[in-house]
Amino acid sequence: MNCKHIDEYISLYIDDVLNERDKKEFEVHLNQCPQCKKKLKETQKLVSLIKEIGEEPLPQGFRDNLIKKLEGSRKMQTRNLLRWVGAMAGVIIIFLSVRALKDIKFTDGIDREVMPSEEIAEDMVSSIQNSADKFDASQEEGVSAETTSMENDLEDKRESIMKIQSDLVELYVQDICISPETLKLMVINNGLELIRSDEDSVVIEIKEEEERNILYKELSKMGEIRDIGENIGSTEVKIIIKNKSE
Amino acid sequence: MNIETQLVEKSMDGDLDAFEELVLLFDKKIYNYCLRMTNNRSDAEDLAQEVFLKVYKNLKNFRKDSKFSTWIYRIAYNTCVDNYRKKRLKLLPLNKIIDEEQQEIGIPSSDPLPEEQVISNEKYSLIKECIAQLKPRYKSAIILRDIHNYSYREIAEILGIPIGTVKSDISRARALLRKALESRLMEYGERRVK
Repeated sequence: MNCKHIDEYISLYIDDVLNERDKKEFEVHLNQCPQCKKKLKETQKLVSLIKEIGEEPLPQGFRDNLIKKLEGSRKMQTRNLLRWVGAMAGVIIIFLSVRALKDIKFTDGIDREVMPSEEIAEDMVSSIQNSADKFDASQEEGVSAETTSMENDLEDKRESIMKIQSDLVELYVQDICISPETLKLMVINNGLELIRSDEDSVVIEIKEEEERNILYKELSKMGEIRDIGENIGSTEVKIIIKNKSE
Repeated sequence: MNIETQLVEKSMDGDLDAFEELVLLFDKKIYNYCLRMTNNRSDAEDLAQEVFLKVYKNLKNFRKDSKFSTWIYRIAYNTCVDNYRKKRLKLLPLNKIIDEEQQEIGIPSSDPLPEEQVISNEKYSLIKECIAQLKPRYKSAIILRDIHNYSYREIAEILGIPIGTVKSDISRARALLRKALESRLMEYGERRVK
């Protein structure tokens, strides 16, 4: 054993995680080397001083403030959910109306070339009613609890109404090739404006709502999006790239 | 099932009261972790609150196969690192801090405080400052090991690094602190004995 790599031995010796052989070897070295012995003493003293720092009490009002923020955050989540539910309801009704019309025109076309207008109207009403019933049911189950086939059909449409809401987004990627450079390229390709970037993030200027939409669509191709910022509707959005395994 | 697991499960089902109880189990620890990472009470308060908001918003992503405490410390670590990058804190060389501390604190002979208390305040504020100036991974490893009493394995999980790296991080951090505090370390010890 030489003095060069002694620091790690000292540290592991203090925490008593050296194996028996290393421990013995270390102790033999200590007896021959006053310098390392001094280092050990100093490090032991350091560790005991750090341990003495202990914990400080929470600042006044810490818990009250936090609980207020949590309740605020829950209200915001409920509002967002309601907004999403509203938008979904609209999309479902439009989609089913269009499908009802298609059914009438193409499927039933062979038997009934011309359909009286009241029947078309009746069919549409019942179809909308139907979709509303299904929607009510899914709402009772907590909306996202169950993915119905109808929702699968609508996956693309849903994506087009989702967007980045806040000023801070974490992008969890599995692909290590996705870097700020990838994001910069996406920014250029989509006519967005880059404000700045560093080793694991980029900041983009968002001038219009439509740009939030584009951003969501592009990011969702790269990984899982977590919209975590506090500032909703900011003109700057920071995207931090994170490794999914983290 | 222990109380922590029960509270986590209820919180995951959207029970805010359960989450508030969960907060009470961890808030002091997380605040103190952030405090040692920043050595600034106001920053630590903001960061700790941010940690709990993130935890609340991301509860659905918590995988029950890992420990909740590991997960929350991990979020705290990431939050502190993000903050550190945001602020682009310049790392002052440790020697410079010592010089400044010496000028600022000193031990005035006419100080009304009992000698022991003066020395005690001085040594702890200097050590706290030195810890906060280490790079985030080093200081996090030291704080978790020596103040929060986590094992090497748990620290590896929290920081998401191999156990060998934790060992070398802790030993490097201790060596840096030892060199920075060198002459004063034993002095503190001796004076204290008197």
